[in-house]
Amino acid sequence: MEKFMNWMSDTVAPKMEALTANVWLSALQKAVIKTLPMVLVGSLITIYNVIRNFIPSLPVLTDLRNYTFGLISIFMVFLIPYYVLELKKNNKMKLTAGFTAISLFMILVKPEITDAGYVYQFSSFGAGGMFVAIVAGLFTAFVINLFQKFSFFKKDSVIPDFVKEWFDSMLPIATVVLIGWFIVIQCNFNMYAFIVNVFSPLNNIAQSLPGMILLYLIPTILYSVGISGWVFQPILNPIALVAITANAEAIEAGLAATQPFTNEAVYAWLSLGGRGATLPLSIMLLFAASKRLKALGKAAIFPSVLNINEPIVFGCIAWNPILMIPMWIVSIVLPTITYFAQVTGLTAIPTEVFNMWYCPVFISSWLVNHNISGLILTAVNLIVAAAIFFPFFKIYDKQQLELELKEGE
Amino acid sequence: MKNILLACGAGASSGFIAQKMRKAAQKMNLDLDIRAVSDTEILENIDDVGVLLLGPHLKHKFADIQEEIKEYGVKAMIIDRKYYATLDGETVLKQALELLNQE
Repeated sequence: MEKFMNWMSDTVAPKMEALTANVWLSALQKAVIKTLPMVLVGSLITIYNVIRNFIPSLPVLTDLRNYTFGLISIFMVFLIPYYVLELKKNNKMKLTAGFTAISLFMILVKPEITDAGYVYQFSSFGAGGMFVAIVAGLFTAFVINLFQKFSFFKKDSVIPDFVKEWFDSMLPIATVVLIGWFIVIQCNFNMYAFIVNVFSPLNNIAQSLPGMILLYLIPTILYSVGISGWVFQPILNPIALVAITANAEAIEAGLAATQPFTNEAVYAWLSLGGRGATLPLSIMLLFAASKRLKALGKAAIFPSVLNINEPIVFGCIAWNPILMIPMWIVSIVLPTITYFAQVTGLTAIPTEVFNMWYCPVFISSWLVNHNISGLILTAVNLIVAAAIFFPFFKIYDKQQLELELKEGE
Repeated sequence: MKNILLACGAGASSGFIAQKMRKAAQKMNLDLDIRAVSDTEILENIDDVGVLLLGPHLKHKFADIQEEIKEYGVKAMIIDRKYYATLDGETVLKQALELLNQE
């Protein structure tokens, strides 16, 4: 165990830290977080639809979701190059880069050209186009960055500055749209379908049992050594949003939803009280014999109800093997139960976007699938998590109590 | 009076500390703004900020963030794990004020 802990602290943690400091990844993370409110408005409509089930005379507001969450790829494609350039201290070009990325994205989406005009598939603007938006955004940032060092004019040129600026920003824009035009329009290559296909194995892995376990376990392990789980959002969020959108589309087409790894499943059944399902642990802390742990439990219980568990994690789990181990076991067992419960049809796979992660347990379970089986699954997972945490908690509590008694002497 | 900005992954856990710190500040009759945001939104909220406090889980970003905010003359520190865990707003506020008044 000690060897493992040393490996985590000396090798893994610094590597992860270097990775998150990477400009491209942090730009993606910023974009994901910035678009969160748009996703949350979509979640609001999901809550509204629950109410509407009881009062059918209320108006249908699904369009509000379509025009917010349903445009997420457009928001993302603008923000990604914007943030890359901001992080690269190229503030002059960041807005232009955002516009250019939208242009490129609109070319890649490849409208059908009819007599009535250009016909776009609306669904490409939503989570379905997410990976295309990411590729287009990063590519645009890359090209504009290349041009940063390059100017048409010499420093001592007699041309007025504003003219120079025009040319220096026009060239990268033109290059990006020209590349898009050449591939998609001139060569008639469906880049959109190509990118979606390239990423689909990644999606398929994420939606398998090992994928679901690893995508939940790895961020949990890093969280347990004090690295914020949010650093994984650039990877997890696109996968999860693509999945929930695929589920929604399947239902609309009269088919069955098939994607079990969604944010909805994570919030309703896995991260009960926060990543690693620490809610049972925070309740145990309230009854701890150790004074320190009891005080921690009191401080942390309210945030825990809202699925915020940094206090618990930093108060007693991080770098403490006695409690890290049960948190990891929970993060293997709960995804396994949840995966099978969903694919065997014991509980319905979520089909409506609901990303309000701070919604208390059971309420979120109801909202994601409107089904008693969803509540039962949450209850089962809570009991299992409690059973896993309990013996470890007992050992730790005893240890802390002995320590306190010794100090008191 | 310079304000205090807290940051963590989503501004959620630091939001709890911020709330406790506001309570403590009220008790001490201090007139200052204490807010919590996501660590990705620090620069957008940096105006009038004197001290930036980061959650312990953002330690790996501390050096970068410090570099970013240098030009704004903002001081930064990581909130001690112990106080973060118990949401001890009073102690964190005291530490922040100490840092603020340091020359």
